[in-house]
Amino acid sequence: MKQDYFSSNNIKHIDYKDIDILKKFISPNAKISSRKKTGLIQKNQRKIALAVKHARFMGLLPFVAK
Amino acid sequence: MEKEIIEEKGAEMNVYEISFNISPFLSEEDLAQEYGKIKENLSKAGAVFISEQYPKQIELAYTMERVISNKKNKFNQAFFGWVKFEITADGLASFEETLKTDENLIRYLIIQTVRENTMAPKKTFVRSGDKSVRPAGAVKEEEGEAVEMDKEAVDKKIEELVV
Repeated sequence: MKQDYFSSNNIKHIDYKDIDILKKFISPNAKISSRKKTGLIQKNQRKIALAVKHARFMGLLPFVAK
Repeated sequence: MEKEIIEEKGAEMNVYEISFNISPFLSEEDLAQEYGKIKENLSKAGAVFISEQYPKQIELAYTMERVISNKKNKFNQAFFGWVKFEITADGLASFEETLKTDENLIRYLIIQTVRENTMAPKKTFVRSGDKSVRPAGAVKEEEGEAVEMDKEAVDKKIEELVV
């Protein structure tokens, strides 16, 4: 992903309940992907990291997988 | 002067969202009661509801533990729901106290958010190789042919089929 996913798809808000989108930004081991891999702008990378952490707390995403 | 400013801050309404994992051992009625209780506590604290999702059963991504009446409980499933509302900071603090003593809640999360819907709209993908979806032009052509067909010829064919 070279371009920012949220800008190109015209998504304004990043929601921690939207796990289908969040799953795009975690590795098979459920680690949050680096900005180099995600291609997000810094602002959205911070938001996605927070959203993944919220989703993990609520049991929507795993802390570790495999 | 300072007091006035503090009071003003306390009266300011912010948009928050609470999501919660309710114990999966509750029956349908108890679940409705529990959800009603949370909403009642919210409105008591002066909240104005914006949107909500009724709790539905989900598989948790990992096993959660929660001590309820001195007994450790493990959960692999939960009823997950959320409510978006507007409330003052003071009201939120008093509401959160009621959550802490609630034994049917496994976990809850309160975040500050915005009034609009934050969920991204779901896309509907159409496969490029899908033959069931025809371009609009093709359908029109077929209709045109059907109209042009000779009526007599159609009658003859029908007779043939009947005989």
